[in-house]
Amino acid sequence: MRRGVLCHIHNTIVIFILVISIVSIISFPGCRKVNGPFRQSGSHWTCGFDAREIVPDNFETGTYYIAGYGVGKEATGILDPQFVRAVWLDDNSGRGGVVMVSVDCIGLARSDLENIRADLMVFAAETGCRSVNIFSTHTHAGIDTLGIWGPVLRSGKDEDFMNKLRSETVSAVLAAYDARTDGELYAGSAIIEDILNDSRDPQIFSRDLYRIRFVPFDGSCGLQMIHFGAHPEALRSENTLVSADFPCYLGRRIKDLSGDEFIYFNGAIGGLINTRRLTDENGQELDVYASTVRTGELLADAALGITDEEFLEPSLNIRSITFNTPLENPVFLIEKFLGILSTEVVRGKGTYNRMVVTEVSYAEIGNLKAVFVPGELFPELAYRTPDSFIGAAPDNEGPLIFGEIIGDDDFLVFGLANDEIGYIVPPGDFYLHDTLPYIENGRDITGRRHYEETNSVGSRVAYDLAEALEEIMKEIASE
Amino acid sequence: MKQFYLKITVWAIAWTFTIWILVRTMIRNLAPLVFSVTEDDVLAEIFGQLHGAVIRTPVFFSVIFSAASGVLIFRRNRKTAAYYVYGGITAFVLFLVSFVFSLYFTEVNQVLLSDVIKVLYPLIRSGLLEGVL
Repeated sequence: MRRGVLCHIHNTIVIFILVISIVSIISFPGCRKVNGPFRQSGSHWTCGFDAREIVPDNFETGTYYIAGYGVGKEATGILDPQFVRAVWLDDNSGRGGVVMVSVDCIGLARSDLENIRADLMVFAAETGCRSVNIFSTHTHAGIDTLGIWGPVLRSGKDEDFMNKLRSETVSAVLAAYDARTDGELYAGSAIIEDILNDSRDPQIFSRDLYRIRFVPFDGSCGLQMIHFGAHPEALRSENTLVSADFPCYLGRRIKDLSGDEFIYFNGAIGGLINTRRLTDENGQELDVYASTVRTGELLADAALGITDEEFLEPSLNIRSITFNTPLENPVFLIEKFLGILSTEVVRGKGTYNRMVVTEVSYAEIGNLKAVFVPGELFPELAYRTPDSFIGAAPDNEGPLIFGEIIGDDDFLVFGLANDEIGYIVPPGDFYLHDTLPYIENGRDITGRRHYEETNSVGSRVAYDLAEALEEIMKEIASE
Repeated sequence: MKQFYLKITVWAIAWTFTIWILVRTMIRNLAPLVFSVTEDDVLAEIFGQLHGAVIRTPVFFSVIFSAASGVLIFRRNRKTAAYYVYGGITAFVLFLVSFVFSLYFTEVNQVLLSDVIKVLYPLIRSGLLEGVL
């Protein structure tokens, strides 16, 4: 009898431990919480917005490095301040809102981003926030946030600046939530001609500027979310002033002419999509500052001129997945060793048995489909490449392109989303320097320069990214 | 017999602890040594990172090795010159092996020092980096 009771207690303890283990595994931060089916909708949209300056208080006395071109370039002044902008967006489906933050900076490593997410954990628990997404505009005139633009072998990151960026991002998110109001969401696009430039063949990139516009029911000022795929480097390499580049002037004009607030998201900008130097009516090149302002204003005018807007159903669906990809770039490895790069790595496969941990998301805002990509994606990986183009490594069969994975050619790529792992290069055109791979630019047999490879994690990223996206889509399809 | 094992245990623990301290202290302070030998800023900077390194001293190896040497040492009753030479060689080999193993598995910011050396050494030696840095 006594033995039977003991046996029962033993079994109960075993079952209890099993249940606790399963619950622990499921609730581990790396697992995704799935609350019902992927696609759900509510009665209306709720949106809030806030923006905050992130220029350091001691900018005049401190040393800050401009990120984007050569190393060790000190900032000499401020052309326009860097901002962090936050949006709270809720479809009122009962699943909670989604936070979308855009930071005027070159990029944020996942570890810095995870710190911000950790700071927002209480907020997320209190408000039911289901996803925090942080994007970088990729301005090449901002203060270094990745660390690789300091003097040689030294980090260009300033701790106080990074702390300010972190705290202001959190404050902006809280303020955006507090400022939330009900309304409707519209989306439309304009084709941008004669501004974009693709420095590397094939000439594949999106010419569309998308605008997602929030219109509050109470008639107060709205919000224009602009999505456009180009490197904000209109100020070019000679500039030493801190600036958000053309998105600043895009936003200012939108605010001046419409009264609406503004937030900017970048697209698939790898390989390498930027804006042309503009000319005056006589065909003379404008100076870089005038050209930058004009670029922003032209894009603002295009955004404000959008007439094909469609009403977006209140349905915001998002699914994210973390994935690992081998770290093959020895420069990144040494920068990581030196504490310059704060990219998150774990043990695993690859040349150095180290894998970069990153994430990709698939989202639907109404009927608008989007992929959040953790770096600078070559547009060829999202859209189709013409058969006539033969890359430098034609034997490397590429992964499925995004359009094939999603099953639709109409979607947006949000670049530099929730991480910045560098360029994501198509395997069929991945080419390294013979003696100094990842250090010097390679030149293939046709003489084409392969710069982007030197700023990429490795040749596997495109495959691993596509596989992760496929996994999301399969998961959604199975629900 | 009991005292014999006790001696070996104390010997093994003391040696392992000493090696542990020595290896860690030396690895953390390798930068000035490397700079004085190579006069290379890059290597000195790399080794300077070892101040905050995660050093994995092979404790298991040290314990086994020092215990084995302890058995040989404490079995002898007469302390001859050969005994001291043997003790010295044992200590040196134990330190050297522990040092090399520790260095190989030393990690800074989740990256192995051995990987960084493998990347940099051939480049520095061939002079290929001179035009880059």
